[in-house]
Amino acid sequence: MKLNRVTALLLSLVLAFSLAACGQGASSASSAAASSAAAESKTEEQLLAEENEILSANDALWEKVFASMDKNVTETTISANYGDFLLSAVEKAKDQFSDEEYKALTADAEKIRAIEEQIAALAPAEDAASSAAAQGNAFPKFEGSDLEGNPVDNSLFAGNAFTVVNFWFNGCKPCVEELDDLNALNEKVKAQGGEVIGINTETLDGNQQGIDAAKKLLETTGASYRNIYFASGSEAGKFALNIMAFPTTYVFDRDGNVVGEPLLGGIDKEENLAALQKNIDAALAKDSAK
Amino acid sequence: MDKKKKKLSPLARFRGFIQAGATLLTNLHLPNFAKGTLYQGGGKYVCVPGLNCYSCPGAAGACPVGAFQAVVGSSKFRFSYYITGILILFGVLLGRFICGFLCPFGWFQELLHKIPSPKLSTKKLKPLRYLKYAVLLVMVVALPLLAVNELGMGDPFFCKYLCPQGVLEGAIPLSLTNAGIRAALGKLFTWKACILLAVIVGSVVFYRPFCKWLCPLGAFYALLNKVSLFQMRVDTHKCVSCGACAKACKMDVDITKTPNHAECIRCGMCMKACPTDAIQYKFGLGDQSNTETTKE
Amino acid sequence: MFMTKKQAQLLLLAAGVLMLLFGLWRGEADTVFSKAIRLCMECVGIG
Repeated sequence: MKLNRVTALLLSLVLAFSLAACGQGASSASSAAASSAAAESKTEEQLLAEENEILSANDALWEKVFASMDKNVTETTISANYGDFLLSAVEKAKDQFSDEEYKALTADAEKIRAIEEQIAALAPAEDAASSAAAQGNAFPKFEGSDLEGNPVDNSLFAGNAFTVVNFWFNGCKPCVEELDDLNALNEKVKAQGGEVIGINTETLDGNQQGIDAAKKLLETTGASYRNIYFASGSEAGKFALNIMAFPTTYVFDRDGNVVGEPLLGGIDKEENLAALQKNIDAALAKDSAK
Repeated sequence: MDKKKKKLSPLARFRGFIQAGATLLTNLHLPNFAKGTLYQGGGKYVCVPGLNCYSCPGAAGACPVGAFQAVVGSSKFRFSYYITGILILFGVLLGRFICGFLCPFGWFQELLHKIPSPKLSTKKLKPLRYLKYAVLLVMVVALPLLAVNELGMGDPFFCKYLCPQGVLEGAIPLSLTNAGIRAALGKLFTWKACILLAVIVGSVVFYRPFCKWLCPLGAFYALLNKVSLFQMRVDTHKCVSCGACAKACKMDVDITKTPNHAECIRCGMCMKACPTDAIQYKFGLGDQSNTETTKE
Repeated sequence: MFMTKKQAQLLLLAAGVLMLLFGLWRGEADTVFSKAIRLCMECVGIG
């Protein structure tokens, strides 16, 4: 009896601790991500500041170099490593400097080249978009097709002021029950430049059984808006399979970025439709501000 | 007689540990609690013996009651032979031993009952026992089968409107880690949270109120308890008819009269109370409840 | 009594196995799986 009590107490303690650990784990992870992001941007700034320092140390000499190179500057030279660009400029204006001055300038340029390489090693700007997709802030790049077999890809988003994407599956009663409401929504938002898209997770990879069942459900509920699928192994497939509560409805802007918080639950319920409308309004406001 | 108290089955002695182990095994995927995700592997093709929500982040298998309703409520099927077959096997092999040893929600109620408080007897509330059969018939079988939309899809009525385990294991841990789920909590959650709260308070003062009165899974196993291979034996030669077992039984069963009563969860409290070690666990075919011989 | 406990047990065990196999054969396990790997919002009491 006593043993039972002790174990019970121990176990409840373990449970309590594990719950507490969960909370901490989540928050510390997110703060770590935030601080590492901060460190990254800081480093880039610092590196650029270092470059400027190097240049300003031999200010007068560099002024001469810059003055000499006006004529030869082209787009291609600028887009290369700034250090290389300086080196070649110094090389070209070599005869204007003494040997010592030339050495100092090439040393500076070499330093700058090294710093430029460091900056390049940091996450390049274009990666920011794909990391946004990885975090679920944007719809990943995809190539798929609709249930009729017509090809569809990311250009879908650019064509609409906003896109409502509804994730569902065939055996999900609340999902099936909102199909007619989604169709009505699609008809309504067409005038605003919006579109409703369905993604049925059972149709991924072109699963014929899933597609047949989905088509039947769409037909019986009178839903005619586009439903699309893609490979389950693709980034978009992972995005879709990561969703665990159904139905889930996202609103994406013209760039394929998520607007607001995704909605869980069917829009046949008034409060859910209102929540979705909020996201749509936000997306519209964002689009007209551009 | 000289071997007194030595013969207590290890099953009964370590029941708390077995319950803890079973709960851990049915909810093995612990990291999912922190991630706020569900396990999506092959284990979910099969159902676990106890009442354990498959929307629990850690759940290693499907809930038998939820799975049954999912199949019955789907447009493809009107009855689940698969789940019924599994439940018959569980029931015939183990009966309500599952309630006493393997069910996470049973264990949860027992732990709550250890909280010091005035304890109330449920002996006078025996008629409420039949409520769970009604829950099984109406909420698990009839309504998901009959209350369907035009596409033949029904709701899992027991899960949706009654089951407190879904709130405890599903809604609460998931809403802690997932803002979208938190935002989706509505009236239904409030209703079911009230049920959970009532069961929690009830479990402190009563012993396993949900098992006794409401659990449809317990009701199904209760029907098979009389024929289960795992059974109780009362040695009539050793029994001194002192009545200690009936007094010790928290499921309100007199084991000397009905050794395999539908309400007996094989917890072994009567065995601990028996001064002559007359009560034992038996596993095997046929009726082993009463001894004519003491041969093994 | 027209059936012993042993007979009833054997009969039920056989029935259990047969029902399980029949259910598997007609694909019930897929329905169970597809429900069990996703969050059933109405099941846990969300919305």
